[in-house]
Amino acid sequence: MGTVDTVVLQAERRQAGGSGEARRVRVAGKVPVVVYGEGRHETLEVNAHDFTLMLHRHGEHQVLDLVIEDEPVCKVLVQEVQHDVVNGAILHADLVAISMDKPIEMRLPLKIVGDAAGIKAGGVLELVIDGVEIECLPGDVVEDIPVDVSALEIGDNLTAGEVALPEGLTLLGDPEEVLITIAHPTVEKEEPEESEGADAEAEESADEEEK
Amino acid sequence: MPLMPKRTKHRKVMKGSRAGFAKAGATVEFGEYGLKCLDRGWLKATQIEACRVAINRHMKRRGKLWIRVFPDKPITSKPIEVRMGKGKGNPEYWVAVVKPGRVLFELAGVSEAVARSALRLADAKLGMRTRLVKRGEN
Repeated sequence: MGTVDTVVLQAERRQAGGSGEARRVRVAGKVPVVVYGEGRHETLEVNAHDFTLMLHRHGEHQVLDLVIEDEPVCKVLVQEVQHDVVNGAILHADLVAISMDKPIEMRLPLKIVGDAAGIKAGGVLELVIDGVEIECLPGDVVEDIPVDVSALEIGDNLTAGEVALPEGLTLLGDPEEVLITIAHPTVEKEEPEESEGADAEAEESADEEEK
Repeated sequence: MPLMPKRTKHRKVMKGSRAGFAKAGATVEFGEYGLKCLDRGWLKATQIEACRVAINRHMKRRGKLWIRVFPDKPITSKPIEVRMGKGKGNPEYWVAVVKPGRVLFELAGVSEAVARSALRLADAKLGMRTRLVKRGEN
């Protein structure tokens, strides 16, 4: 957890739009990006390697200082990242321009802390919903929300209302929504293993019947 | 008992298309680890069942398994030594149409090492290229 620092993201303007141009941008080792919000709407391109590293290091909930060529800095958040379904490469990203004094709505992931008592008893921790919708000022955004599950037994649920949110964050949505449950493990019925001898006998009897 | 639909609208269907990439079911949604398919093809109900048995036996009753594909397509074949024509053959088995990027199985409640080895056993039953994916990765 911890409030995230800002990171600089260098971008260049894209001259043409469309899928063909986007493909050429990707071949050149860049990622097509669009930025919108706060009266802004521009198509950009960023270095694919830098952008991937940035997402890997800081996650998708990072307030970024976007520098477009020689323009002044604009604060943005990553709204959506599209990945290739086969190799996971980044295909496109949506950035939303923000104002630091206006509250924003976003979905923050949960970070599970502690070992649940139910897991020690053989249960399985099931993440029903892996994030919560919150409202906060951009300066209060955290990387993730820690959730202590150590008191959960098998069959217990943890709802959104029970999560202790960091200061400055307000929960949106239903507080009764179940986020985490400790489920029973998959119970496999023991299948009686047929011996080879029994199989051979069955085949022989089948052959006799055919004759 | 292999997976198959309880009832269907039509007994026999055409071959259909396997073109394109997985649109739905391409990310790990339920568990912590998943087996992502990189090839396209038909996955028989018996293959899915073999994978399920291999994974569950390796996990030794720990953890939880999700099967993300269902064989809902009937495949027909003609009996042996029968001349062509005289109508379509009889439904013989069921398959799931799989496109590249589809997550086939998901696991939770086991360590990465156990998940990796369990899914490798499942991979051996498939005859398709696969890779292990973690929740949050693509």
